[in-house]
Amino acid sequence: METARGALSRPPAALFSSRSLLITVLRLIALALIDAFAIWFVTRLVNDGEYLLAIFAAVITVAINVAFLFEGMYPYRWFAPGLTLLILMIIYPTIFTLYVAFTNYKDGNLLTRVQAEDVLLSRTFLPEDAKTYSWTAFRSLEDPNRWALWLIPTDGEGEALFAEPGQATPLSEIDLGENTLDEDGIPTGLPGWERVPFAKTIAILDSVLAKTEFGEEDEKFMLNPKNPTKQAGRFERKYTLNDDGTLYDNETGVTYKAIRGTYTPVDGPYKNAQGQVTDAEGQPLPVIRPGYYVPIGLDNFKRLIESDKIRGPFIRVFLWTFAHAFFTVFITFWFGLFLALLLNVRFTPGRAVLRTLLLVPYAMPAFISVLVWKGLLNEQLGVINKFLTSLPFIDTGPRWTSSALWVKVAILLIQLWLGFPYMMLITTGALQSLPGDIYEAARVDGANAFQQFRHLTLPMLLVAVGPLLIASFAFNFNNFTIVELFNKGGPPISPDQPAGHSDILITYTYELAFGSGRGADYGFASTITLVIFLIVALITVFNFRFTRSWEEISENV
Amino acid sequence: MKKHLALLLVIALVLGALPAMTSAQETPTLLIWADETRAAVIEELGVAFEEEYGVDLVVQQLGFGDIRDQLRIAGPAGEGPDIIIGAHDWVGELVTNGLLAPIDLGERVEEFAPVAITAFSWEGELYGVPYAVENVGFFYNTELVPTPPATWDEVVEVSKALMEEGKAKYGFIRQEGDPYHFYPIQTAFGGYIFGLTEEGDYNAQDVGVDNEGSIAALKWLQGLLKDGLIPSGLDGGAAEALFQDGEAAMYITGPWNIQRFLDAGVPFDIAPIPAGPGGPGRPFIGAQAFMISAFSQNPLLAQAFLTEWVASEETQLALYEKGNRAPALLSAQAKVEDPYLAALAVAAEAGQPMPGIPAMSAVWSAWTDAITLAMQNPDADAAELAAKAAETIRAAAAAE
Amino acid sequence: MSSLSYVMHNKMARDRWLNYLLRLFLVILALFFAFFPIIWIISASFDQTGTLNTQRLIPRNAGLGNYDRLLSSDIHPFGRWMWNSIKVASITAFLTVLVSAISAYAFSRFRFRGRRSLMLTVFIVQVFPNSLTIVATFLLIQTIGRHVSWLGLNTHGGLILVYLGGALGINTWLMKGFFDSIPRDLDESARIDGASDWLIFWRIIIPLVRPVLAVVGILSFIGTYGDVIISLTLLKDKDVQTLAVGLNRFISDSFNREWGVFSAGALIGAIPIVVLILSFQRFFVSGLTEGAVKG
Repeated sequence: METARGALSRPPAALFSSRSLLITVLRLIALALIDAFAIWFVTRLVNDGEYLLAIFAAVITVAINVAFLFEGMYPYRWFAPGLTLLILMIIYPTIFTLYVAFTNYKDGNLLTRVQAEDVLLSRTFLPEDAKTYSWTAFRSLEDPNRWALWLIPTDGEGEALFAEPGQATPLSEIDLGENTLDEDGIPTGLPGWERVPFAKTIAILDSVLAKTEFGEEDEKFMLNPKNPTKQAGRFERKYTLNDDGTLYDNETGVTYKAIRGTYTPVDGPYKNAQGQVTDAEGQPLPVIRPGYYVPIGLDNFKRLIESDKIRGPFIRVFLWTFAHAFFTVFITFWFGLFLALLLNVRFTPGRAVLRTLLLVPYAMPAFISVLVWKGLLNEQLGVINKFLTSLPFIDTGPRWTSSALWVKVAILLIQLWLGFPYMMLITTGALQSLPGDIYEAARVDGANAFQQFRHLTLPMLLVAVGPLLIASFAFNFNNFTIVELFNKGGPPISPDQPAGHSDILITYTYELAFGSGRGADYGFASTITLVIFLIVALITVFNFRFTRSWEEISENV
Repeated sequence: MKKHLALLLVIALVLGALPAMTSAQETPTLLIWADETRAAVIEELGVAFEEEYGVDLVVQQLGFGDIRDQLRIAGPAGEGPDIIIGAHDWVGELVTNGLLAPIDLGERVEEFAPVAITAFSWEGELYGVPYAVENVGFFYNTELVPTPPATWDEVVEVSKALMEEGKAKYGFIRQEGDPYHFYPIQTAFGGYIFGLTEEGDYNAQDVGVDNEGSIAALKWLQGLLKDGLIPSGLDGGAAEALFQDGEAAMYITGPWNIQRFLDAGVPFDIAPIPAGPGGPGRPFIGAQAFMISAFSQNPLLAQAFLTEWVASEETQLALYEKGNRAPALLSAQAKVEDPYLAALAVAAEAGQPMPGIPAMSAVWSAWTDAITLAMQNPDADAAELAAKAAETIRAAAAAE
Repeated sequence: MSSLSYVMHNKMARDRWLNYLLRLFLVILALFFAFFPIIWIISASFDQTGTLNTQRLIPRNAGLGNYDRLLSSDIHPFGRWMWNSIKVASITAFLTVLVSAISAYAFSRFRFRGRRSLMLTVFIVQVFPNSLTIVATFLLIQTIGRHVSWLGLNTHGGLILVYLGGALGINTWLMKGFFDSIPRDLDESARIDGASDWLIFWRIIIPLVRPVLAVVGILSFIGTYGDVIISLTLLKDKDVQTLAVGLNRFISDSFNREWGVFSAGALIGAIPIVVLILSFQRFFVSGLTEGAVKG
């Protein structure tokens, strides 16, 4: 405090006022630069079709301008960097995710419409009357950008062809000049053309050869996209996209219509008695994959409410999420406080060393610690169970990973190990800063040590570390690393329910959303997340409105 | 105000022009996602391909399982790899999501183990050039078990004898859950996961995890647990450790553990899976391959890499050296002289290709849960667990 | 008299020592709990052949083989990863402290419409599980990277940008509490001298709140250093990957088989954090609690 006051007396008042104009100018220039960048960025986003992000960027920019141009918005200038980052990096992705909650974004409908169409339109087929050929590339001596293919029928029947853009000439009509055919039937060269060795063609497969149309307009040859080095032929596009959005299969003559983002057969040459489109043998035709994701309104929410196989584990997981976060804070706090009290007595030789040593678990990265504990708690081979079973009165050790109860105990045990040093740190700090004089008064009033702790230390301590405990709760509410790495949320509850006994909401929804191999459903996972988020937000608001802690945190000046 | 605007426009123009100045690349590049083992081989042997064809190969290492998960995010965004390596049971899911491009090997298909080609085929198209085939076998400690048991009844007898004589802590062990390692036992008791259609393809509508054989297999395991013949709560790592340390005598596992057991010096050999009342134990036969992303910017070049480099004897042998799995290319397979792989090949004679249909997703979750729960609680009703798993799998199959 | 006081003194001294020994005993129990797992992986990192099953506290075949394999391999450039982690975590921590301090100052010193709602928003947004927004984050960074390449995928710039989204959060609360404990008289007298808010913040407040800056910096460093999900999704080239992603690959590929190497990596990886926490311990204690206590 003293030094601060000392430093304060130094800068002369005049300095500030002469600077203020300069500062205003600098501020305007900085603002202009930011605007220029933002305009450029938003324009490019709009060009790319990234409208949602463009709107976000534009709104942020306008807000920054408002804050810096109007004096009434002065305090918000201070939030410009923090809020910009928060809105762009947290709120924007969150809103995107919430949008997903109203779509069928899941396996089979993972792409956007444009992507799905691109994948389907790139598919080719070989018409029944067409042949395949092996090819050799030739390059024009006059124009190095002009390429041609020498095509030899794969089945050995019919004539070889020389196909250049715009025309194809059969072998019999070709003037070989002084060149000869080699043993494979390929000319060593052609007048005006140079034969290109195979190795030289690999690098230009995509950039040149795939983009060139060889032969006449109605008889175009192309490399087989599925076997480009070996085959060329008159491949054709498998699907055509009609103006009404339907997809026409050029090979089978079936028309597909996108129903909820999945192309479903609606019309074709064969139909069965039920009106289903079938193949020639009468088998109903399947839908085409991939599909794209579309908004499906409230269907995901309906599923959450109506299906008890989902609702059941949802409630269970929800409760454990709260319990896990609460008990983690509870036990780490008390254990940390206990140690802090032990070491807070003035007569404690070696106190600094002991405190430092007790901090070490906190320093290990959590994902490493969890894996170590996973080894220690292995039911059969872990050193803890080996020790326990070696005791005369214990037959089998706790089933740390396979029992619904013990897995929770194990997770809390790990949490205790990871978290107590932090709590010890903050309670030590709080204890040290408690005013000593009230204890004097309490002693005079005849309060014993426990009463002092109960009525003086603890209340003051809780006020002091309250925000940190809340922060710790919020962190553990979403503590993905520990639950996922320890036992992947297991053991399972039941084969027909997609959750485990130790799953918390974040692991549960993460598996639902991205758990490959389990029929991932990102849309539905987002729905659950949205519901959770609303509940938690409500609880938080309620909590702050009706408890004093909020007042203390927001107004304690 | 006007000045302000003019300045702004100038700055906007300057900033706008900057990124446009970056030049286009000359040499085409292939981006490959591979796990650590495979990445090393590609980096080593890929140089020849790069030099011969004037192409750049860029290898990014990911965890094997991460490759599939990350492809779902990065592929559609156009940031994904051109080529990935992966296991064949991913194919159904990846194709359904439109993430893979088909491949046509032409006549060269015949150069590969047919089971590997089948494994990577989906609705009549091939989606990968396989480099390895693998299956599990019955590993036994030759010191403790001189002759491998031929039936599961014998396995129980041998286990009992070993444990009573105190020669080993356990006879036969198995890890919890995991339909893949359970399938050989399940089939030996007459169970199955998916039935076959007339053409010999897997039929997603015919789910067999709740048939008598499957339930009998579960109950048999529960019986062993109750009698204390096999330990509960073993995961894969723990089971491997027990076998490696000679504390367990018999274990179902695959070629990925051979080198490790050799290094540890445990005397072992590999036999076919013992038979049960339902016939021989059938291991799943799996395959691994290089696949092409549907979002590759160089799809033809990627195809060329697969047919020219992956499908070569040299590459396949190098991948075998590092990964210890039998090559999928038959000519390379013939050159491998490895008694253990030969023994696994014998075990594979009774094997079946692992289904790649999307309904397998439900198997990996629901059936795993059912087996896990049955093993964790020997008194649980195996039939009920199996029925619940079957219900979930059928629902998934119907949704396709 | 004197002998009585001597006896009393003696008794008090004995009680004090007894009390100390009892407390020491309890602390040693806690130390055992704290150190057992750590000793266990230290042992594993020197054990060249052991498995989970046979690992002993004193390895049977001790040696530096695991460390050698960890540090000498081209396939996993461990040193590079570690450097990347330290770099990303340091820059993130520094910028987080900066952004957070500016906002916390405003929360602490200004009264304006929307202040309480803003604070509540900042808190609630944290509760949304960020691992679910990973797809959106990926697409966002991709889009940004298309126009500003050093903030794109596979860059540390992009990764840091994502981490900075969380700069305005619990940290800001923590700082605000500490800022509140600095008497406002200081600001007022400076203002009378003609100092602007920025000058007050920069010259007066910042020097006084160094402990909490250190704490927020360290917390941010630790959080960034240990992150797996975001960095795994954004970084694909092995040369830009961070330590957590690299070690995570050991887990997914060969956790059981490479337990010794993993342990060695884990231990070396933990060193920066241990050093950081131990050397800033003093700051840590006062920085975390002072503000809240004095409020």
